[in-house]
Amino acid sequence: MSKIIYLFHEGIRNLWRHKLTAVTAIGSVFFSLLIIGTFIIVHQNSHQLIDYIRSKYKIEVFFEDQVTTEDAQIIVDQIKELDGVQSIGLVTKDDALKIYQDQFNENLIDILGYNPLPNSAIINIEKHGNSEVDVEPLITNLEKIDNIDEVVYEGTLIRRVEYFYNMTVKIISYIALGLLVITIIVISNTIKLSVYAKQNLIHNLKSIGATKRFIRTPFIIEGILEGIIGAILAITVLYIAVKSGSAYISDIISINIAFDNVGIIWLLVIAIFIGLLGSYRGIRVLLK
Amino acid sequence: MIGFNNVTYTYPNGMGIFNVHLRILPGEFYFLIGPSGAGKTTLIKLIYMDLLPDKGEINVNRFSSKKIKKRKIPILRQDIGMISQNFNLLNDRNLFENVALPLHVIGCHRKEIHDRVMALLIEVGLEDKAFEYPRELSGGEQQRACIARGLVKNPDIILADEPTGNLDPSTALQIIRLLERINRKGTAVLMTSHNYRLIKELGHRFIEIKNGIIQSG
Repeated sequence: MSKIIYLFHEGIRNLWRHKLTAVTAIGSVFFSLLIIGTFIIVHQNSHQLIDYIRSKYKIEVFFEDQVTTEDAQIIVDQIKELDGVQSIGLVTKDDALKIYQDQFNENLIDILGYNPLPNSAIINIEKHGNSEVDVEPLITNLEKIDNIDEVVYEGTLIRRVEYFYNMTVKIISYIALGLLVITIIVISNTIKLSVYAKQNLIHNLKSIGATKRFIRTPFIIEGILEGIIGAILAITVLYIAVKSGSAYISDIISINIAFDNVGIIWLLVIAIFIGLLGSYRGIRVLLK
Repeated sequence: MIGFNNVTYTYPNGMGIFNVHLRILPGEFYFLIGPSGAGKTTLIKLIYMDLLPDKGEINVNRFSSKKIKKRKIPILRQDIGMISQNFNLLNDRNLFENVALPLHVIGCHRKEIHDRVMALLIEVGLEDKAFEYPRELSGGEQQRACIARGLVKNPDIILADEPTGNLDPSTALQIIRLLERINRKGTAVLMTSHNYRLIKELGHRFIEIKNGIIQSG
């Protein structure tokens, strides 16, 4: 037990003894986790943005000219029952005329002497979590309904957004993985430097009968502590950034950016992993 | 305690030690003398199995160079006190911490560490320097601290590799007297030196080595 306490104590004291290398290692963990943490936050919150964008996509159905408002209401009730429809709103000829007047500041009846706009309906599409919206079956079903003149849907744009979203998630994952590897190499090289500077200590310890584990443990504790300190700094900066950024963004669009506990735990786990692996690699060479 | 049976170790440049037979019994005091490059340090390294022989067998206490597993070498070294010419004290630790290091390796308790370290510092006359750092000490004081560190775990044998090499004759003699005192308590001492004039008057047994071959002993 006293050996464990001593080794842990040595690991903490090593941080002070190797100040320069410790600052370098903590700095590299901090910057890497800042980027990885940003990716985690983006990933955690991007579905909110996607949901927001999806919520803006609607299918517009235009009825044939001869369809009366009463008939249109019957068709709307029929559409409401179809799969993939979240809600539907009827836009009568009169409503359409008002909307046109509001948008273009012109009264079509004054110009044409009649209202040429048809009855129409706006369909909100049902969402299923983070998965892409498959609207094709719904459109096919709508086109089968009698008295529907045209189905308007910005499908290409939606597919582009979804494709871009999936690609971005993939690229972010690869970049984060690359950063993780780079950080591990940086940490192990930094610890290797501190280990080289401590060759005298290692030689001494070997000559007095210290086992490899005894020699290695303080360096590994030092590496883990460097990882944790770097992570705490990165988490603090990210937390402040998310708090202030969220307030700013929520003024523009109705999205609340969050940095939840899962993200924080992930960063800490990554930091401990980086510190552990980096220091193990660093000391391994000299203990061969 | 220590036995060399027809031991040969050769470095890539052809130097080394060749067909060495040697026996050191508990409580003995030996000088290992010879010019620089004669093989003294190689012999010491072979005893604490930093090197393993190409031929022959070395026995140290219950360990044999032919059978020992790598992970057992630290255990072998825990019964040996090492003293070197360059003191090898750690500059970022004070004297107390330097001397206490071997006790941490074997997992002693804090109280025991304190008592044993302080007792040894008193024995080597450094009790008032316990919390000073190596750079604040003279060469002789550093070597005495190094001896205290070598002794702190009550080893069966002290291997002193040129412990007087960096010291003036008067301080060197003090160090030898200290090692003699330790030897009288039952610890075997093997001390290397290239300074025959310093040791010839002391009346201890000595082994002479030249070009890796034992000449007399």
